[in-house]
Amino acid sequence: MSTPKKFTGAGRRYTTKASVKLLDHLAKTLITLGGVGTIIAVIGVFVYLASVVVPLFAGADRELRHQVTALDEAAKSAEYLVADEFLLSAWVTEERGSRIRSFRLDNGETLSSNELFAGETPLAITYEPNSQTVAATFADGRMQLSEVAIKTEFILADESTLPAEIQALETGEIASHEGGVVQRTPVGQLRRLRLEIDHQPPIATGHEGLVLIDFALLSSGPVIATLSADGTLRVQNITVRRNMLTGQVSSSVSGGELAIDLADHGLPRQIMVSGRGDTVYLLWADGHLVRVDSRNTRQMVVAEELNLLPAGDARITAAAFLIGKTTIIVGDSKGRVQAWFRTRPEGATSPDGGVLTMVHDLGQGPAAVTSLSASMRTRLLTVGFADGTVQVYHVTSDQLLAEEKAEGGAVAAATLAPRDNLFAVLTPAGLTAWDFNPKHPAANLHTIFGKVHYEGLNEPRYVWQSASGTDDFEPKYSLTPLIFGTLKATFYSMLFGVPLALLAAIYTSEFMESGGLRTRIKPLVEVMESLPTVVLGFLAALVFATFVEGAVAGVLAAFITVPLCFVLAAYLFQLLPVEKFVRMSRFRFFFLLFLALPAGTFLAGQFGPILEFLLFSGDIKAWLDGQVGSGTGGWFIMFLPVSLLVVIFLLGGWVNPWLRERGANHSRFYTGVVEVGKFVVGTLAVLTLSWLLASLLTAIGFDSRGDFPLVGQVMGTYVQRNALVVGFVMGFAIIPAVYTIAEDALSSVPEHLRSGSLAAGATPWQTAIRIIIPTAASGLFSAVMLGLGRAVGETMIVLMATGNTPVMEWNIFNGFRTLSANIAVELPESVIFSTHYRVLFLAALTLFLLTFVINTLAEVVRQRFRKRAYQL
Amino acid sequence: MEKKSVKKTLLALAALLALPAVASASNLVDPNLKPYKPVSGVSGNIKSIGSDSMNNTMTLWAEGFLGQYPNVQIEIEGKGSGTAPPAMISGTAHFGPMSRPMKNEEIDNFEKRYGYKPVALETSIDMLAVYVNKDNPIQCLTLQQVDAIFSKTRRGGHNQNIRTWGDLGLTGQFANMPISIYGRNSASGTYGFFKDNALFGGDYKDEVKEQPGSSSVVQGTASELGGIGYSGIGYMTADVRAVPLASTPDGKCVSATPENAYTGEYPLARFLYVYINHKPGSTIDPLRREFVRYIFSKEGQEDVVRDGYYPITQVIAKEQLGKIGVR
Repeated sequence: MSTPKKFTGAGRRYTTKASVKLLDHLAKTLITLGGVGTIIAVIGVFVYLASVVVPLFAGADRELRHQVTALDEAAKSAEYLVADEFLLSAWVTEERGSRIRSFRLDNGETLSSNELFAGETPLAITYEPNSQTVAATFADGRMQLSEVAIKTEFILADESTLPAEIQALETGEIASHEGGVVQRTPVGQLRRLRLEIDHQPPIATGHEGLVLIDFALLSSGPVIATLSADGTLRVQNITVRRNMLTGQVSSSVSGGELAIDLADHGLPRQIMVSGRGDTVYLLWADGHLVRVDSRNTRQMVVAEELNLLPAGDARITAAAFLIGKTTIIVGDSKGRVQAWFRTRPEGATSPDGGVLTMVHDLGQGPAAVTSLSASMRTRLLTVGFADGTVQVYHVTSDQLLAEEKAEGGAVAAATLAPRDNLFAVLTPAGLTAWDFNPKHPAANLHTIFGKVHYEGLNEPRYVWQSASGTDDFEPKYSLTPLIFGTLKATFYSMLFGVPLALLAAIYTSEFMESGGLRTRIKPLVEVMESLPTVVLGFLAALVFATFVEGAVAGVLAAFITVPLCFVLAAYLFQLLPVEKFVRMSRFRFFFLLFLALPAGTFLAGQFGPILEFLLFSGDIKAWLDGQVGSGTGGWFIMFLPVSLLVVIFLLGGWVNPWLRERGANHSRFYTGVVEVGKFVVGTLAVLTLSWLLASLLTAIGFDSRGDFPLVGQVMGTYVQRNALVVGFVMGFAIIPAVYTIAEDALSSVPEHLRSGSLAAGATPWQTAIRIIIPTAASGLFSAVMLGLGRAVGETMIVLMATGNTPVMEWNIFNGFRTLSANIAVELPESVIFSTHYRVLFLAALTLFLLTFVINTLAEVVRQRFRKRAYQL
Repeated sequence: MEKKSVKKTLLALAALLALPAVASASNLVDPNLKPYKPVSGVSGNIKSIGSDSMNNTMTLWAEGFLGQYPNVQIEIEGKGSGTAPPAMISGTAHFGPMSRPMKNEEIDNFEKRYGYKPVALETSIDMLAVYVNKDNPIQCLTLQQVDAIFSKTRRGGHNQNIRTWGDLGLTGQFANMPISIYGRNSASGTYGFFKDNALFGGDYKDEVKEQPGSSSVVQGTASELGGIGYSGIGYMTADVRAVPLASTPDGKCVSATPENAYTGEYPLARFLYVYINHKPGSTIDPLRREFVRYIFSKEGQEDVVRDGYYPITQVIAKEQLGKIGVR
């Protein structure tokens, strides 16, 4: 198209240049790509987090693996059934523990069948799965510990010397060989699993008729408990110690006796020693239980006696320990399965302060319980019933994970394989085994968000304690304290940061005299944001926390004296003659900064000890700990803001109009003096009112350090790394974000509104409060929300400056543990795709959703604000 | 007050920056350990991924080894014990230093891939000490008392909770002073070891302040008069004191000295491990063999001492080398 020239000679192009069009198109595509890419990235993060989290809630899998009927008759009624870790073979005890047989799990072929104790039948026998040890007593008073285990060895000999069928094995295939099973491993080696029995030297006790035995294997050596037919309980503690310099092993034995009254209930059916050897349980079939405190074996005492079956219509048919040997599982003839452990309620009267408590009622089975078998690495439990039913429970979460029924009648023995990947039962029809995958039973919605009664605790609680060095530990995955910690951190940092940031923004945009200063302050505040939070955290932990600890009262006093000095300085400023006032106005900012602030700080240092003396009996930490003084001091501090609001309201409502009326004819100086007087009187009124309210509450009987419903303890024991310190430093970290947005919002309020208001006679203060702030309100709101989002996700400050204590108290003087810090601490060390790992991802997902919602809300509000601002 | 806090801060910074205290020279090393003799034909790359608390020791070993074999290249990554097993399984690391034994789940995963279990070499001894502020007069703690201070479950069997120093019999200014508890972060090997041995497997109180590193536990304890914390013995500074411990309520108090660790009397001594992928029955390649031999030589164990841990003895060294078929 041609471009007609105008008479001025300047032409106007009516077409767009191709290059501009191209650039335009390119930019549009790039921006679109960038935008869509961002959305995809965010969705991707969400999907990835979710994909790791979702399997956490999948149910357990099981599938029938072997059904073996070609099993020797003697093996079908065995008492103990134990599978190996590769699920190739198992062993059983026969003929009351005198014989032991190992057989292949897939076809029942007997691999070995031997006498366990050289032809002798033990008087009592027991097997402990975690140490793979059998303990037995004999008629002549001997005790014997023997390691019975299916052990793995690698065939190192030249393969050509082995039978052809072994040579022909492919990866994973198995064959019987020399009393064991041989399997080809993934790297081509041959491993043989064979039952091996290692007898330790017998211990001659000199006491005949030891009818019951149990033991616990501590890292220092075994603790063995026996009961003889006459009712004497004997506990022997054998300590084995190895000298690393010489390799020498030395052992020492200590022990004691306790007479148990057998007159009422007869012989117990079982004796059980706890995992630490500090408690011995004697259990009768009628439900009677005697708990013996054996911490000091020389002076054992009966800690308590109780009845586990108070209804009295059933008999105990099976009992076993869960892993760790602290929780007792009891099954009865009615099919009930219950878990008991020792709690320590206040005021317990037993010698060791404990009470055996029924904690988990796993429910009602279809028939009498005949066999119980606990997992060797988690809190899973297999229960066999008299009708052939087998159930697998996760005890902590009270969940039934699997239920199956085997052919042939009552379960003689049930077992869970060492890696929890198979459960099997022996019935008169033979052996039935199921492949099993429990997935993540320790984490479900209830254990993650609800209260759970964990082993050893007095009541159900929210607990986060996820890791340990050993497997017999009950993992505690409650995210509730972490979410609470996140909210607590956010709350206190907002409490410090937001008022400062907003007031600073209002001041700089509305009241600051020098425009040059204003343009410099904003970038300066933004520079604050570039401080790495890890540095802030480091400073908070090392400098600030120790400083505050040395001057708690001073820091508290600063909250009163610094604002007081600012306001007082403002009033005093008014006393200046009017021409001086106008001339000095430009230096107001410097007056405040270099006079009022240092004066406030100095006064805080001076006033702190006085405050401590007056309110907190001279020692604020002892006061916070509840050792000295009454609750008045705490209430006083808490009521200060309330009283302040009340007094301001009263002054504004009644006193100010009255003064204004009277003051119209007075000189400027006189009015200034009256104002100062009003301020002093108002301050005194605030203090008095607050004190009155505090005394009133104390008189009624409320202590400010007490535990209150809903909020818990607000003032409590002082901890060096606490919410006050973190709130301060994190407040510092969120100030730039809030300040910048707030300042933008305020200064984008159209100038004509401001001018109009001022021209109509309003003071700058009235203009700011009535015109500017309401107009910018939604912008200010979104600034606060952005600060909130920042505070929720903040990691390093919290990680370094708090103790990461997962407590659930609002107490400003103790710490907390946030979701983000928790992830940072624990994720690098957790086993990949384990329950712990996935729960940490759930924490991440929670955090993601939290910040996502907050930021979205902030953005929505901001959009509305922009629309409104355009309309003006 | 101002001055004091500045001084305190400087001290704290100094404590944080200070390397673990160097134990008294190399006379700790068992004289029966033989000096390392280099062999010919060793070259190649070594990669180690694992524990951060053993990072320095690993580096010292690597330096010493490089002094013998300049052609060898060694890369060491220390991001935590938990990173060792995945690296061993994928074969990206030759050595996996760990401050705790592998967990069953980790061993399972390794075994799934290779059919045999990884070999754990006990390379050095670490002692956990219970630290208090240097001005704290407490003389001795039983493990049961330690348990009652740190644990809410008190599986050690102490009847009452211990909350203030007065509960432990201290008088004067300590009588009503609450105990301020410091500990390591929950993923560390130290945390798990202390939990199993001092807490008898029980749970930590919620009030235990988890610190990201051993030195900040010591720093925390040093900065608070009522503080108590646990960490490796190598992190001790002049501002804290290691309290002697007794294993039983009526037992003898044992101080945290190397002699007591060797006799097995001190209750909180543990091994630090290096995991290695060794196929049973096979001959280990010369590079890895020589590195392991260096670890268990006189020089290697002197490095251990230099890093603030305690060396193993000839008896143990021989046992460990035997695990991978090296004499």
